[in-house]
Amino acid sequence: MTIHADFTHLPEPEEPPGLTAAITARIAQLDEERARGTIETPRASLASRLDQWSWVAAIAGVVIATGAETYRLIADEAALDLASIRLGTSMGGVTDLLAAEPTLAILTVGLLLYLAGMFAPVRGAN
Amino acid sequence: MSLVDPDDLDDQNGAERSPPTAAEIPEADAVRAAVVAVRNGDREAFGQLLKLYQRRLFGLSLMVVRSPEGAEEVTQDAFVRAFTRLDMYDESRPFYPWLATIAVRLAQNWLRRDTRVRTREGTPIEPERDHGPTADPVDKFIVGERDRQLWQAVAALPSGQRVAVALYYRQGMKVREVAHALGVTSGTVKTLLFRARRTLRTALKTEPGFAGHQEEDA
Repeated sequence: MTIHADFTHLPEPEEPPGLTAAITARIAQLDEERARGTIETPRASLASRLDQWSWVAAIAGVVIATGAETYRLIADEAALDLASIRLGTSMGGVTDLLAAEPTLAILTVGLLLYLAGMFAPVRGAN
Repeated sequence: MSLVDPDDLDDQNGAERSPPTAAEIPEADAVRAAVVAVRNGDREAFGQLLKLYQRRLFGLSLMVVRSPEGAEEVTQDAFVRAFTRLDMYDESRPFYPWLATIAVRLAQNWLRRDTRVRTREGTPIEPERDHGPTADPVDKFIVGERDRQLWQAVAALPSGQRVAVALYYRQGMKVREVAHALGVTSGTVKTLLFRARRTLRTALKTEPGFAGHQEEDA
């Protein structure tokens, strides 16, 4: 007698009585959800949504701040160049101030968003 | 128990299962019809697959996880997963190895989870099996003494060997199908089977129900 024969003669254990019903019920439930189009998609919890918004805010802040700083450097240089042609280098401070005003506002918004994003998960965790 | 050369394993199983028996042909037809019907939205047709394979799959799960509750959970999950992923089943291949592969992977997850829980709780991972015939929960499913001894010997194997034995000897799957189910090479499966046979031979040598059997094969 071989091991194959030993296993062939081994009877299958009986499945638990409620197995068919349990599987059928689970499949029926799945099918109904699928038919209704309401298959459970894991909904983000409030905490994880807050985290997502925090990340978005932080990244947006960094992008705005970087963009604004880059723009300021380019624009100021251009303004200075233009001013230097017409007004001379001694008037550069005036053009600097004029150019910095909108940039400063954008930079502030960016910084605030960044800080909000950075501290939000800590607040959420508490 | 005879020791078969691992290189002949596929031939041995292939010879047993090819060409398909008269019983296998209608089974394959029934499975194909049920799969097509389920894919066309007939949920009730899945009942045919359940009827055909639930006992076999429960037996496989029980042999792998060694817990009736765990086996029931794995069997349920395997059928539900098969239902939800039926679109991924390739009809040109036999259905049961596909289903068994799902069950084995779920059973392996179950074992890993169970091991983690036992480790955390400080309970022994390997259940003790020397507390008499009522200690093993499988006893309520296996009645005969000889069958019980074989089940217990298989249950005592390391999980990799146990799964390989269950799929190859018990479920009649080919070595390459077992390899696919376990995510290993055919060579690894042959090694697992070789070691399992060696361990089983040693374990069953001391069992009275297998004593004559040993002498016969020696």
